Amino acid sequence: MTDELTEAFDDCLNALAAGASLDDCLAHYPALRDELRSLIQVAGTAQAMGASATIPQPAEMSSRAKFLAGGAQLRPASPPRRARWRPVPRAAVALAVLALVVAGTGGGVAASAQSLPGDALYSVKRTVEQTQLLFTLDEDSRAQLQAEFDERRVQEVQTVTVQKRTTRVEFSGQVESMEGERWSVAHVTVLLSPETRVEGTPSLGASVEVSGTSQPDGTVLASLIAVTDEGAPVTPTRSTPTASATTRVVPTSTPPPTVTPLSTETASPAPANPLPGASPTSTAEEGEEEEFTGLVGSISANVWRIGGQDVTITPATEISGSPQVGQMVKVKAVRDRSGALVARHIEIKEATGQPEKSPTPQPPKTPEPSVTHEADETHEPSETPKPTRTPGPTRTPTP
Amino acid sequence: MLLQQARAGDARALAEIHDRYYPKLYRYAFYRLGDAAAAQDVAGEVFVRLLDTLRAERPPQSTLSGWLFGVAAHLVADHFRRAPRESLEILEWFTSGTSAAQEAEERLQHQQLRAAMRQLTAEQQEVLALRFGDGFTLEQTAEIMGKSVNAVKALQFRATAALRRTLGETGND
Repeated sequence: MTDELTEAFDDCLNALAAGASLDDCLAHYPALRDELRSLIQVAGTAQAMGASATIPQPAEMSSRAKFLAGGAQLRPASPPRRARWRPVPRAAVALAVLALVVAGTGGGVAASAQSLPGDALYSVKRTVEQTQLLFTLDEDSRAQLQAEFDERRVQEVQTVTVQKRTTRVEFSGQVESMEGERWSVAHVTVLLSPETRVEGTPSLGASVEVSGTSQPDGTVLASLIAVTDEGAPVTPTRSTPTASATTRVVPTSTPPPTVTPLSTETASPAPANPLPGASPTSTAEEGEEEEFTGLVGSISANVWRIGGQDVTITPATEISGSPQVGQMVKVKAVRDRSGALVARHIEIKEATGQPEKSPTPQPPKTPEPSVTHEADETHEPSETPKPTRTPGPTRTPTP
Repeated sequence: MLLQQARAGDARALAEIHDRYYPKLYRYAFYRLGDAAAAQDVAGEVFVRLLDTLRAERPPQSTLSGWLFGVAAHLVADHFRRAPRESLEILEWFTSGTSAAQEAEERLQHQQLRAAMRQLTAEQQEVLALRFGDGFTLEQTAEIMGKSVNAVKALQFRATAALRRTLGETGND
Protein backbone atom coordinates (compact mmCIF):
# COMPACT_ATOMS: atom_id res chain seq x y z
CA MET A 1 0.00 0.00 0.00
CA THR A 2 2.72 2.45 1.00
CA ASP A 3 4.83 1.59 -2.05
CA GLU A 4 1.83 2.02 -4.27
CA LEU A 5 1.02 5.33 -2.62
CA THR A 6 4.63 6.49 -2.93
CA GLU A 7 4.57 5.82 -6.67
CA ALA A 8 1.13 7.31 -7.12
CA PHE A 9 2.16 10.44 -5.23
CA ASP A 10 5.23 10.90 -7.41
CA ASP A 11 3.22 10.24 -10.57
CA CYS A 12 0.70 12.88 -9.55
CA LEU A 13 3.42 15.44 -8.78
CA ASN A 14 4.86 14.82 -12.22
CA ALA A 15 1.49 14.96 -13.93
CA LEU A 16 0.64 18.22 -12.19
CA ALA A 17 4.00 19.64 -13.18
CA ALA A 18 3.25 18.67 -16.76
CA GLY A 19 0.01 20.61 -16.65
CA ALA A 20 -2.55 17.93 -15.77
CA SER A 21 -5.40 18.79 -13.44
CA LEU A 22 -5.65 17.30 -9.98
CA ASP A 23 -8.86 15.49 -10.90
CA ASP A 24 -7.24 13.95 -13.99
CA CYS A 25 -4.44 12.70 -11.86
CA LEU A 26 -6.64 11.33 -9.12
CA ALA A 27 -8.79 9.56 -11.68
CA HIS A 28 -5.93 7.15 -12.29
CA TYR A 29 -5.93 6.10 -8.65
CA PRO A 30 -9.55 5.79 -7.52
CA ALA A 31 -8.66 3.67 -4.50
CA LEU A 32 -6.13 6.21 -3.27
CA ARG A 33 -8.07 9.29 -4.27
CA ASP A 34 -8.67 10.90 -0.86
CA GLU A 35 -5.26 10.02 0.46
CA LEU A 36 -3.53 11.41 -2.59
CA ARG A 37 -5.58 14.58 -2.59
CA SER A 38 -4.57 15.57 0.92
CA LEU A 39 -0.92 14.72 0.28
CA ILE A 40 -0.83 16.81 -2.85
CA GLN A 41 -2.45 19.71 -1.03
CA VAL A 42 0.31 19.58 1.57
CA ALA A 43 2.93 19.35 -1.18
CA GLY A 44 1.39 22.40 -2.85
CA THR A 45 1.60 24.33 0.40
CA ALA A 46 5.23 23.30 0.82
CA GLN A 47 5.98 24.40 -2.74
CA ALA A 48 4.29 27.75 -2.26
CA MET A 49 6.50 28.39 0.73
CA GLY A 50 9.59 28.27 -1.46
CA ALA A 51 8.16 30.57 -4.10
CA SER A 52 8.65 33.72 -2.04
CA ALA A 53 12.46 33.55 -1.83
CA THR A 54 13.96 36.55 -3.62
CA ILE A 55 17.68 36.46 -4.26
CA PRO A 56 19.29 39.46 -2.53
CA GLN A 57 21.39 41.08 -5.26
CA PRO A 58 23.73 43.09 -2.99
CA ALA A 59 24.53 40.04 -0.89
CA GLU A 60 25.07 37.94 -3.99
CA MET A 61 27.39 40.54 -5.53
CA SER A 62 29.32 40.92 -2.29
CA SER A 63 29.78 37.17 -1.96
CA ARG A 64 30.82 36.98 -5.62
CA ALA A 65 33.43 39.70 -5.24
CA LYS A 66 34.90 38.04 -2.14
CA PHE A 67 34.91 34.66 -3.84
CA LEU A 68 36.68 35.96 -6.93
CA ALA A 69 39.21 37.94 -4.93
CA GLY A 70 39.99 34.86 -2.83
CA GLY A 71 40.12 32.74 -5.96
CA ALA A 72 42.77 35.00 -7.46
CA GLN A 73 45.16 33.68 -4.81
CA LEU A 74 44.74 30.16 -6.19
CA ARG A 75 46.51 31.03 -9.42
CA PRO A 76 49.97 29.57 -9.66
CA ALA A 77 52.81 31.82 -10.72
CA SER A 78 53.56 31.04 -14.32
CA PRO A 79 57.05 30.85 -15.77
CA PRO A 80 58.48 34.10 -17.07
CA ARG A 81 57.26 34.96 -20.51
CA ARG A 82 59.81 37.61 -21.16
CA ALA A 83 62.27 39.71 -19.30
CA ARG A 84 61.36 43.31 -18.76
CA TRP A 85 63.04 45.67 -16.39
CA ARG A 86 62.78 49.36 -16.31
CA PRO A 87 64.93 51.46 -14.03
CA VAL A 88 63.02 53.31 -11.34
CA PRO A 89 64.02 56.85 -10.38
CA ARG A 90 65.82 57.36 -7.07
CA ALA A 91 62.95 59.40 -5.67
CA ALA A 92 60.59 56.52 -6.36
CA VAL A 93 62.95 54.15 -4.58
CA ALA A 94 62.90 56.26 -1.46
CA LEU A 95 59.14 56.64 -1.66
CA ALA A 96 58.63 52.93 -2.18
CA VAL A 97 60.80 51.97 0.75
CA LEU A 98 59.03 54.49 2.93
CA ALA A 99 55.63 53.23 1.79
CA LEU A 100 56.69 49.65 2.39
CA VAL A 101 57.85 50.43 5.91
CA VAL A 102 54.77 52.46 6.78
CA ALA A 103 52.33 50.03 5.20
CA GLY A 104 54.15 47.02 6.58
CA THR A 105 53.94 48.21 10.14
CA GLY A 106 50.21 48.60 9.82
CA GLY A 107 49.60 45.24 8.22
CA GLY A 108 48.59 46.98 5.03
CA VAL A 109 50.99 44.99 2.91
CA ALA A 110 49.34 41.68 3.68
CA ALA A 111 45.91 43.19 3.24
CA SER A 112 46.87 44.72 -0.09
CA ALA A 113 47.94 41.40 -1.58
CA GLN A 114 44.38 40.60 -2.64
CA SER A 115 43.53 44.11 -3.77
CA LEU A 116 42.51 44.84 -7.32
CA PRO A 117 42.73 47.93 -9.50
CA GLY A 118 40.45 50.56 -8.03
CA ASP A 119 40.80 49.25 -4.47
CA ALA A 120 42.17 51.57 -1.82
CA LEU A 121 45.15 49.31 -1.12
CA TYR A 122 46.04 48.65 -4.72
CA SER A 123 48.68 51.38 -4.80
CA VAL A 124 50.32 49.75 -1.77
CA LYS A 125 50.43 46.46 -3.62
CA ARG A 126 52.08 48.05 -6.65
CA THR A 127 54.56 49.94 -4.50
CA VAL A 128 55.54 46.77 -2.71
CA GLU A 129 56.13 45.10 -6.04
CA GLN A 130 58.32 47.95 -7.22
CA THR A 131 60.28 47.74 -4.01
CA GLN A 132 60.73 44.01 -4.40
CA LEU A 133 62.12 44.61 -7.86
CA LEU A 134 64.46 47.29 -6.57
CA PHE A 135 65.95 44.98 -3.99
CA THR A 136 66.29 42.02 -6.34
CA LEU A 137 69.79 42.45 -7.68
CA ASP A 138 70.20 39.26 -9.67
CA GLU A 139 69.12 40.01 -13.21
CA ASP A 140 67.50 36.63 -13.87
CA SER A 141 65.58 36.69 -10.60
CA ARG A 142 64.46 40.20 -11.32
CA ALA A 143 63.26 39.24 -14.78
CA GLN A 144 61.35 36.34 -13.32
CA LEU A 145 59.80 38.58 -10.70
CA GLN A 146 58.79 41.08 -13.34
CA ALA A 147 57.20 38.31 -15.36
CA GLU A 148 55.24 37.20 -12.30
CA PHE A 149 54.00 40.72 -11.78
CA ASP A 150 53.04 40.94 -15.45
CA GLU A 151 51.03 37.77 -15.07
CA ARG A 152 49.43 39.17 -11.94
CA ARG A 153 48.35 42.28 -13.88
CA VAL A 154 46.61 40.11 -16.47
CA GLN A 155 44.83 38.13 -13.77
CA GLU A 156 43.73 41.34 -12.09
CA VAL A 157 42.30 42.66 -15.33
CA GLN A 158 40.51 39.38 -15.99
CA THR A 159 39.04 39.54 -12.49
CA VAL A 160 37.86 43.15 -12.70
CA THR A 161 36.33 42.53 -16.11
CA VAL A 162 34.50 39.48 -14.80
CA GLN A 163 33.32 41.62 -11.90
CA LYS A 164 32.23 44.26 -14.43
CA ARG A 165 34.11 47.00 -12.59
CA THR A 166 34.99 50.28 -14.23
CA THR A 167 38.51 51.21 -13.21
CA ARG A 168 41.93 52.09 -14.56
CA VAL A 169 43.96 49.02 -15.51
CA GLU A 170 47.38 48.26 -16.93
CA PHE A 171 48.57 44.96 -18.24
CA SER A 172 50.77 43.45 -20.88
CA GLY A 173 50.49 40.42 -23.12
CA GLN A 174 50.52 39.17 -26.64
CA VAL A 175 48.17 40.39 -29.32
CA GLU A 176 45.98 37.41 -30.13
CA SER A 177 43.60 38.98 -32.59
CA MET A 178 43.00 42.36 -34.21
CA GLU A 179 39.57 42.85 -35.64
CA GLY A 180 39.05 46.45 -36.47
CA GLU A 181 38.87 48.30 -33.20
CA ARG A 182 38.35 45.14 -31.19
CA TRP A 183 41.55 43.34 -30.25
CA SER A 184 42.33 40.50 -27.92
CA VAL A 185 45.42 40.82 -25.71
CA ALA A 186 46.17 38.09 -23.15
CA HIS A 187 42.57 36.85 -23.50
CA VAL A 188 41.25 40.31 -22.63
CA THR A 189 39.09 42.09 -25.17
CA VAL A 190 40.59 45.50 -25.81
CA LEU A 191 38.66 48.25 -27.57
CA LEU A 192 40.39 51.03 -29.47
CA SER A 193 38.89 54.48 -29.84
CA PRO A 194 40.04 57.58 -31.72
CA GLU A 195 41.67 58.67 -28.45
CA THR A 196 43.73 55.50 -28.15
CA ARG A 197 47.46 56.22 -28.53
CA VAL A 198 49.33 53.42 -30.28
CA GLU A 199 53.11 53.31 -29.89
CA GLY A 200 55.04 51.13 -32.30
CA THR A 201 53.48 48.84 -34.85
CA PRO A 202 51.40 46.18 -33.16
CA SER A 203 50.84 42.95 -35.03
CA LEU A 204 49.56 39.51 -34.19
CA GLY A 205 51.92 37.86 -31.73
CA ALA A 206 53.56 41.11 -30.66
CA SER A 207 53.94 41.85 -26.97
CA VAL A 208 52.22 45.04 -25.94
CA GLU A 209 51.48 47.03 -22.83
CA VAL A 210 47.90 48.19 -22.51
CA SER A 211 46.63 51.02 -20.34
CA GLY A 212 42.96 51.76 -20.22
CA THR A 213 39.70 51.50 -18.36
CA SER A 214 37.78 48.31 -17.74
CA GLN A 215 34.19 48.54 -18.93
CA PRO A 216 30.98 47.07 -17.51
CA ASP A 217 30.69 44.83 -20.58
CA GLY A 218 33.92 43.04 -19.65
CA THR A 219 36.16 44.81 -22.16
CA VAL A 220 39.00 47.28 -21.65
CA LEU A 221 38.85 50.62 -23.46
CA ALA A 222 42.48 51.35 -24.24
CA SER A 223 44.06 54.75 -23.83
CA LEU A 224 47.54 53.48 -24.70
CA ILE A 225 48.87 50.43 -26.49
CA ALA A 226 52.64 50.26 -26.62
CA VAL A 227 54.63 47.57 -28.39
CA THR A 228 57.38 46.13 -26.20
CA ASP A 229 58.36 43.24 -28.43
CA GLU A 230 57.54 42.87 -32.10
CA GLY A 231 57.26 39.13 -31.60
CA ALA A 232 57.54 36.39 -34.17
CA PRO A 233 56.55 37.05 -37.73
CA VAL A 234 52.98 36.38 -38.64
CA THR A 235 52.05 33.41 -40.75
CA PRO A 236 52.94 34.43 -44.29
CA THR A 237 49.58 33.48 -45.74
CA ARG A 238 47.87 36.14 -43.71
CA SER A 239 48.19 39.87 -44.01
CA THR A 240 49.65 41.67 -41.02
CA PRO A 241 47.37 44.17 -39.41
CA THR A 242 48.80 47.46 -38.33
CA ALA A 243 48.14 49.94 -35.63
CA SER A 244 45.81 51.83 -37.89
CA ALA A 245 43.41 49.03 -37.19
CA THR A 246 41.90 49.18 -40.61
CA THR A 247 42.57 45.60 -41.61
CA ARG A 248 40.00 43.10 -40.57
CA VAL A 249 42.03 40.02 -39.71
CA VAL A 250 39.76 37.65 -37.92
CA PRO A 251 36.07 37.56 -38.60
CA THR A 252 33.95 36.93 -35.54
CA SER A 253 30.30 36.80 -34.71
CA THR A 254 30.57 40.03 -32.78
CA PRO A 255 29.97 43.28 -34.61
CA PRO A 256 32.77 45.80 -34.32
CA PRO A 257 32.34 48.78 -32.05
CA THR A 258 31.28 52.03 -33.62
CA VAL A 259 33.74 54.38 -31.97
CA THR A 260 35.97 54.54 -35.03
CA PRO A 261 35.36 54.13 -38.73
CA LEU A 262 34.72 50.62 -39.87
CA SER A 263 37.32 48.65 -41.69
CA THR A 264 38.10 49.72 -45.16
CA GLU A 265 38.79 46.24 -46.43
CA THR A 266 36.49 43.34 -47.03
CA ALA A 267 36.58 40.73 -44.33
CA SER A 268 39.08 38.06 -45.13
CA PRO A 269 37.98 34.44 -45.28
CA ALA A 270 37.74 32.69 -41.97
CA PRO A 271 41.11 31.25 -41.09
CA ALA A 272 41.19 27.65 -40.04
CA ASN A 273 43.20 28.57 -37.03
CA PRO A 274 42.20 31.99 -35.91
CA LEU A 275 43.73 32.03 -32.43
CA PRO A 276 47.18 33.39 -32.11
CA GLY A 277 48.38 30.60 -33.99
CA ALA A 278 50.13 33.48 -35.51
CA SER A 279 52.46 33.43 -32.57
CA PRO A 280 54.71 30.42 -32.20
CA THR A 281 55.35 31.38 -28.58
CA SER A 282 51.71 31.36 -27.79
CA THR A 283 51.14 28.09 -29.58
CA ALA A 284 53.85 26.45 -27.57
CA GLU A 285 52.09 27.40 -24.38
CA GLU A 286 48.83 25.85 -25.49
CA GLY A 287 47.87 22.21 -25.69
CA GLU A 288 47.01 20.22 -28.79
CA GLU A 289 43.93 21.22 -30.65
CA GLU A 290 40.93 19.26 -29.47
CA GLU A 291 37.88 18.50 -31.56
CA PHE A 292 34.55 17.36 -30.23
CA THR A 293 30.84 17.63 -30.84
CA GLY A 294 28.15 18.35 -28.31
CA LEU A 295 24.89 20.07 -27.62
CA VAL A 296 24.98 23.74 -26.80
CA GLY A 297 23.79 23.95 -23.21
CA SER A 298 24.08 27.68 -22.70
CA ILE A 299 25.43 30.73 -24.46
CA SER A 300 26.86 33.76 -22.71
CA ALA A 301 29.20 36.50 -23.83
CA ASN A 302 32.47 34.75 -23.13
CA VAL A 303 31.69 31.18 -22.16
CA TRP A 304 29.46 28.65 -23.85
CA ARG A 305 28.59 25.31 -22.35
CA ILE A 306 28.92 22.65 -25.02
CA GLY A 307 28.62 18.95 -24.43
CA GLY A 308 28.95 19.49 -20.69
CA GLN A 309 32.15 21.49 -21.05
CA ASP A 310 32.73 25.20 -20.63
CA VAL A 311 34.21 26.65 -23.78
CA THR A 312 35.72 30.12 -23.76
CA ILE A 313 34.81 32.33 -26.69
CA THR A 314 37.31 34.98 -27.71
CA PRO A 315 37.14 37.56 -30.45
CA ALA A 316 39.30 35.17 -32.46
CA THR A 317 36.77 32.36 -32.26
CA GLU A 318 35.35 31.62 -35.67
CA ILE A 319 31.65 30.80 -35.45
CA SER A 320 29.96 29.39 -38.53
CA GLY A 321 26.26 30.12 -38.61
CA SER A 322 24.30 31.07 -35.53
CA PRO A 323 24.34 28.15 -33.12
CA GLN A 324 21.47 28.14 -30.64
CA VAL A 325 21.01 26.46 -27.29
CA GLY A 326 20.06 22.85 -27.89
CA GLN A 327 21.82 22.57 -31.24
CA MET A 328 24.60 20.09 -31.90
CA VAL A 329 27.86 21.77 -32.82
CA LYS A 330 31.39 20.73 -33.73
CA VAL A 331 34.12 22.48 -31.78
CA LYS A 332 37.82 22.88 -32.41
CA ALA A 333 39.57 24.24 -29.34
CA VAL A 334 42.83 24.41 -27.44
CA ARG A 335 43.59 24.67 -23.77
CA ASP A 336 45.22 27.82 -22.54
CA ARG A 337 47.67 28.08 -19.66
CA SER A 338 44.92 28.09 -17.05
CA GLY A 339 43.41 24.92 -18.51
CA ALA A 340 40.46 26.72 -20.02
CA LEU A 341 39.17 25.34 -23.29
CA VAL A 342 39.39 28.17 -25.81
CA ALA A 343 37.36 27.72 -28.97
CA ARG A 344 38.99 28.28 -32.30
CA HIS A 345 36.12 27.19 -34.46
CA ILE A 346 32.48 26.32 -33.81
CA GLU A 347 30.10 25.14 -36.44
CA ILE A 348 26.62 23.73 -36.41
CA LYS A 349 26.61 20.01 -36.96
CA GLU A 350 23.70 18.41 -38.72
CA ALA A 351 21.67 16.24 -36.36
CA THR A 352 22.67 12.62 -36.68
CA GLY A 353 19.63 11.30 -34.95
CA GLN A 354 21.06 10.59 -31.53
CA PRO A 355 21.83 13.65 -29.54
CA GLU A 356 23.35 13.43 -26.10
CA LYS A 357 20.65 12.94 -23.53
CA SER A 358 20.16 14.44 -20.17
CA PRO A 359 19.12 11.99 -17.48
CA THR A 360 15.93 13.95 -16.98
CA PRO A 361 13.98 16.33 -19.12
CA GLN A 362 15.19 19.88 -18.59
CA PRO A 363 13.42 23.18 -19.06
CA PRO A 364 13.81 24.38 -22.64
CA LYS A 365 15.66 27.54 -21.64
CA THR A 366 18.53 25.64 -20.05
CA PRO A 367 18.92 22.19 -21.55
CA GLU A 368 21.73 20.14 -20.06
CA PRO A 369 23.79 18.85 -22.93
CA SER A 370 25.57 15.90 -21.50
CA VAL A 371 24.79 12.78 -19.57
CA THR A 372 28.32 12.67 -18.22
CA HIS A 373 28.37 13.16 -14.49
CA GLU A 374 31.36 15.32 -13.97
CA ALA A 375 32.11 16.83 -10.63
CA ASP A 376 30.87 20.15 -11.83
CA GLU A 377 27.83 19.08 -13.76
CA THR A 378 25.10 21.65 -14.03
CA HIS A 379 21.97 20.97 -12.10
CA GLU A 380 19.50 23.41 -13.41
CA PRO A 381 16.40 23.05 -11.30
CA SER A 382 13.09 22.88 -12.99
CA GLU A 383 10.20 24.97 -11.84
CA THR A 384 8.45 21.89 -10.64
CA PRO A 385 9.44 18.29 -10.08
CA LYS A 386 10.02 16.33 -13.25
CA PRO A 387 8.95 12.82 -14.09
CA THR A 388 11.42 10.02 -13.67
CA ARG A 389 11.73 6.30 -13.46
CA THR A 390 15.46 6.14 -13.73
CA PRO A 391 17.51 4.86 -10.83
CA GLY A 392 19.94 7.54 -9.82
CA PRO A 393 23.55 7.64 -8.72
CA THR A 394 24.38 6.76 -5.17
CA ARG A 395 27.56 8.73 -4.63
CA THR A 396 27.87 10.14 -1.18
CA PRO A 397 28.96 13.71 -0.77
CA THR A 398 31.76 14.21 1.72
CA PRO A 399 31.98 17.90 2.33
CA MET B 1 36.22 20.68 -15.98
CA LEU B 2 34.72 23.69 -14.21
CA LEU B 3 36.07 22.59 -10.86
CA GLN B 4 39.45 21.89 -12.39
CA GLN B 5 39.58 25.41 -13.80
CA ALA B 6 38.45 26.83 -10.48
CA ARG B 7 41.26 25.01 -8.70
CA ALA B 8 43.69 26.84 -10.96
CA GLY B 9 42.10 30.12 -9.93
CA ASP B 10 40.45 30.75 -13.29
CA ALA B 11 38.29 33.82 -12.70
CA ARG B 12 35.70 32.85 -15.28
CA ALA B 13 35.24 29.37 -13.80
CA LEU B 14 34.98 30.77 -10.28
CA ALA B 15 32.45 33.35 -11.44
CA GLU B 16 30.41 30.70 -13.20
CA ILE B 17 30.35 28.49 -10.11
CA HIS B 18 29.19 31.39 -7.99
CA ASP B 19 26.59 32.57 -10.48
CA ARG B 20 25.25 29.08 -10.96
CA TYR B 21 25.01 27.99 -7.36
CA TYR B 22 24.56 31.08 -5.17
CA PRO B 23 20.84 31.52 -5.99
CA LYS B 24 20.15 27.82 -5.45
CA LEU B 25 22.03 27.72 -2.18
CA TYR B 26 20.29 30.88 -1.01
CA ARG B 27 16.84 29.47 -1.86
CA TYR B 28 17.72 26.23 -0.09
CA ALA B 29 18.90 28.03 3.05
CA PHE B 30 15.95 30.42 3.02
CA TYR B 31 13.52 27.52 2.71
CA ARG B 32 15.15 25.74 5.61
CA LEU B 33 15.61 28.78 7.85
CA GLY B 34 12.90 31.26 6.84
CA ASP B 35 15.33 34.08 7.54
CA ALA B 36 16.82 36.15 4.72
CA ALA B 37 19.86 37.34 6.68
CA ALA B 38 20.71 33.86 7.89
CA ALA B 39 20.22 32.47 4.39
CA GLN B 40 22.66 35.07 3.04
CA ASP B 41 25.18 34.07 5.67
CA VAL B 42 24.84 30.40 4.79
CA ALA B 43 25.10 30.90 1.03
CA GLY B 44 28.14 33.18 1.41
CA GLU B 45 29.86 30.88 3.87
CA VAL B 46 29.53 27.93 1.51
CA PHE B 47 31.73 29.75 -0.99
CA VAL B 48 34.23 30.76 1.66
CA ARG B 49 34.57 27.08 2.55
CA LEU B 50 34.87 26.10 -1.08
CA LEU B 51 37.82 28.47 -1.41
CA ASP B 52 39.38 27.01 1.75
CA THR B 53 39.01 23.54 0.28
CA LEU B 54 40.50 24.54 -3.04
CA ARG B 55 43.39 26.33 -1.31
CA ALA B 56 44.10 23.26 0.80
CA GLU B 57 44.10 21.19 -2.40
CA ARG B 58 41.37 19.00 -0.97
CA PRO B 59 38.86 19.29 -3.80
CA PRO B 60 35.35 17.94 -3.29
CA GLN B 61 35.31 14.18 -3.68
CA SER B 62 31.63 14.10 -4.57
CA THR B 63 29.93 16.16 -7.24
CA LEU B 64 30.35 19.89 -6.82
CA SER B 65 26.62 20.38 -6.27
CA GLY B 66 26.54 17.56 -3.72
CA TRP B 67 29.46 19.09 -1.87
CA LEU B 68 28.02 22.61 -1.88
CA PHE B 69 24.61 21.54 -0.62
CA GLY B 70 26.21 19.20 1.89
CA VAL B 71 28.08 22.14 3.38
CA ALA B 72 24.90 24.22 3.30
CA ALA B 73 23.03 21.48 5.18
CA HIS B 74 25.74 21.45 7.86
CA LEU B 75 25.59 25.23 8.18
CA VAL B 76 21.81 25.13 8.51
CA ALA B 77 22.13 22.49 11.24
CA ASP B 78 24.73 24.67 12.99
CA HIS B 79 22.36 27.59 12.79
CA PHE B 80 19.56 25.58 14.39
CA ARG B 81 21.90 24.43 17.14
CA ARG B 82 23.02 27.99 17.88
CA ALA B 83 19.63 29.67 17.65
CA PRO B 84 16.98 26.97 17.80
CA ARG B 85 14.05 29.34 18.18
CA GLU B 86 15.32 32.36 16.36
CA SER B 87 14.30 31.27 12.91
CA LEU B 88 10.80 30.50 14.06
CA GLU B 89 10.33 34.08 15.08
CA ILE B 90 11.39 35.66 11.82
CA LEU B 91 9.06 35.19 8.94
CA GLU B 92 9.58 37.09 5.76
CA TRP B 93 7.47 35.22 3.33
CA PHE B 94 5.04 37.90 2.34
CA THR B 95 5.73 41.06 0.47
CA SER B 96 2.69 41.11 -1.78
CA GLY B 97 0.07 43.79 -1.54
CA THR B 98 -2.47 41.76 0.37
CA SER B 99 -4.66 43.33 2.99
CA ALA B 100 -3.50 43.42 6.58
CA ALA B 101 -6.05 40.77 7.60
CA GLN B 102 -5.08 38.47 4.75
CA GLU B 103 -1.44 38.95 5.48
CA ALA B 104 -1.93 38.22 9.14
CA GLU B 105 -3.79 35.03 8.30
CA GLU B 106 -1.17 33.96 5.81
CA ARG B 107 1.58 34.72 8.27
CA LEU B 108 -0.14 32.54 10.81
CA GLN B 109 -0.52 29.70 8.33
CA HIS B 110 3.10 29.89 7.34
CA GLN B 111 4.19 30.13 10.93
CA GLN B 112 2.31 26.90 11.54
CA LEU B 113 3.82 25.34 8.45
CA ARG B 114 7.32 26.39 9.46
CA ALA B 115 6.79 25.02 12.96
CA ALA B 116 5.54 21.77 11.44
CA MET B 117 8.58 21.60 9.16
CA ARG B 118 10.85 21.86 12.15
CA GLN B 119 9.24 18.71 13.56
CA LEU B 120 10.50 16.69 10.59
CA THR B 121 13.85 14.95 10.51
CA ALA B 122 16.76 16.85 8.96
CA GLU B 123 16.65 14.57 5.92
CA GLN B 124 12.93 15.12 5.46
CA GLN B 125 13.39 18.90 5.69
CA GLU B 126 16.26 18.68 3.23
CA VAL B 127 14.32 16.70 0.62
CA LEU B 128 11.41 19.15 0.79
CA ALA B 129 13.78 22.12 0.47
CA LEU B 130 15.53 20.61 -2.54
CA ARG B 131 12.42 19.33 -4.29
CA PHE B 132 9.88 22.03 -3.43
CA GLY B 133 12.09 24.97 -2.45
CA ASP B 134 14.73 24.73 -5.18
CA GLY B 135 12.76 22.67 -7.70
CA PHE B 136 15.45 20.05 -8.23
CA THR B 137 14.42 16.88 -10.04
CA LEU B 138 14.44 13.54 -8.28
CA GLU B 139 17.75 12.66 -9.95
CA GLN B 140 19.39 15.92 -8.99
CA THR B 141 18.10 15.62 -5.45
CA ALA B 142 19.39 12.04 -5.31
CA GLU B 143 22.83 13.13 -6.42
CA ILE B 144 22.98 16.03 -3.99
CA MET B 145 21.84 13.84 -1.10
CA GLY B 146 23.94 10.86 -2.10
CA LYS B 147 20.93 8.59 -2.31
CA SER B 148 19.20 6.54 -4.98
CA VAL B 149 16.24 7.98 -6.83
CA ASN B 150 13.93 5.43 -5.25
CA ALA B 151 15.19 6.35 -1.80
CA VAL B 152 14.52 10.03 -2.50
CA LYS B 153 11.08 9.19 -3.84
CA ALA B 154 10.26 7.33 -0.64
CA LEU B 155 11.78 10.07 1.51
CA GLN B 156 9.76 12.72 -0.32
CA PHE B 157 6.58 10.76 0.34
CA ARG B 158 7.37 10.19 4.01
CA ALA B 159 8.29 13.85 4.49
CA THR B 160 5.03 15.05 2.95
CA ALA B 161 3.00 12.55 4.95
CA ALA B 162 4.78 13.56 8.15
CA LEU B 163 4.17 17.22 7.39
CA ARG B 164 0.50 16.53 6.81
CA ARG B 165 0.31 14.61 10.06
CA THR B 166 2.03 17.38 11.97
CA LEU B 167 -0.24 19.97 10.45
CA GLY B 168 -3.16 17.97 11.73
CA GLU B 169 -4.42 16.95 8.35
CA THR B 170 -6.35 13.74 8.00
CA GLY B 171 -4.42 10.80 6.66
CA ASN B 172 -3.53 7.25 7.34
CA ASP B 173 0.17 7.04 6.71
